[in-house]
Amino acid sequence: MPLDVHVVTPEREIWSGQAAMVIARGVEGEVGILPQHAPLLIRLAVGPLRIRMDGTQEAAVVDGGFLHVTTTEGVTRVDVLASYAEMAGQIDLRAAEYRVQELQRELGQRDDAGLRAELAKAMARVELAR
Amino acid sequence: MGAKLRLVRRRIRSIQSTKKITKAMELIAASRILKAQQRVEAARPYAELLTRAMEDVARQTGALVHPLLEERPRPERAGVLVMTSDRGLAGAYNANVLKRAEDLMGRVRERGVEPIIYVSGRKGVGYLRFRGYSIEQSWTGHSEVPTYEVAERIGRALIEAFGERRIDELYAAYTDFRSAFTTRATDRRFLPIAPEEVVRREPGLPYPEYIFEPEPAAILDELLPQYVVTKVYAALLESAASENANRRRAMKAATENAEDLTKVLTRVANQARQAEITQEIMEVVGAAEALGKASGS
Repeated sequence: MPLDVHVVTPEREIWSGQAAMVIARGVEGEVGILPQHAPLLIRLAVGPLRIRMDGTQEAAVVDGGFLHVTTTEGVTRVDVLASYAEMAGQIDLRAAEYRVQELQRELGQRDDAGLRAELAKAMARVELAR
Repeated sequence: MGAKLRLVRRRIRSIQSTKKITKAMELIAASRILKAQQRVEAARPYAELLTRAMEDVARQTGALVHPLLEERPRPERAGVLVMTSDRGLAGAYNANVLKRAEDLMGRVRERGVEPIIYVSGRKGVGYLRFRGYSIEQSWTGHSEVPTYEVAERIGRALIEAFGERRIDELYAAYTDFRSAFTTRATDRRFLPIAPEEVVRREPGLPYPEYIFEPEPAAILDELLPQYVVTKVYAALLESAASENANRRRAMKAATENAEDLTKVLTRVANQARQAEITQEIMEVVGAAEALGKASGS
């Protein structure tokens, strides 16, 4: 039985489908989800989300959020809830690179936790889109 | 051309150009209703999944305990978030929601609680300021197409105010979108969150091995504010759909009005033209008769 995966943001569902495995970066380390995984609710870090299917792979970048795994009647459902998320194919690499430079410049002038968080998000996008 | 005829023709031209504008606005509003409705639909899965995650937390921990869920024993100040539009030309849309907001503030005051006003939308800011209310904070420039980012800004600011005890409760007055023909100004309480609102199903027995990272309390700390922001977002979307529905209706009425006016004025113009022609003929005939009389005698 494959995983039933949904990647959802408050604005819309950005991806859904069946997969063999989901790999995400939690706040306390990487997690890999296979069918029949124990129920789980963890906070995600800013970083990549990989969805493996038979032979192919989808990747997305999530800006934090939650990973929720439940199994009902033998079907394991994986919900990724993120405030902002983008599929790898939809990332505008040039815009992301520009944003990284811009944020680095700003951080050079003043150090700010919010700016650093933004930089991490932009860098995660660049890394994934490359 | 006579003065009257010129005047009437000018008015017809001006009404027709106004009609073109109102017709265009009607069509734009109509397409935006559809888009806003789709956005309301698209936002539903996230809210649903968020609730499900909280139900799981409740199931594992027995009951949800969190400051955002706690009723404060003697509330002193209540935040009132009023959602209006940035532009007018939407019929009674703003008037209705502002009336509802004032009604809500009245009810809050009756309980001996002081309302603290937060506004989204320029129209609300203008109205409330004119009426002498002091506005704690306002957000403008997004009413027709609200993004999640805006909802997050508003939501986080209000949660912070609640956390710092600047407000003890939070209510929102906004417009519920029922259909393109029915919208209703309404108000809801957003904070504190009623526990039965987030845990709808009876929590069953805890699962034997459930993995939380970090511990459930810390997760709840993230989930609940997220839930409030989602509610603000949903209300903004409903309001945007309602705003466009009202605007479409108002512009449709204006377009029809322009059509009626054009019809009436065209008749007036025709009459004036006919009167002019008659006048001219009479003048020609009169002159000819006078000439005939002069040469015949």
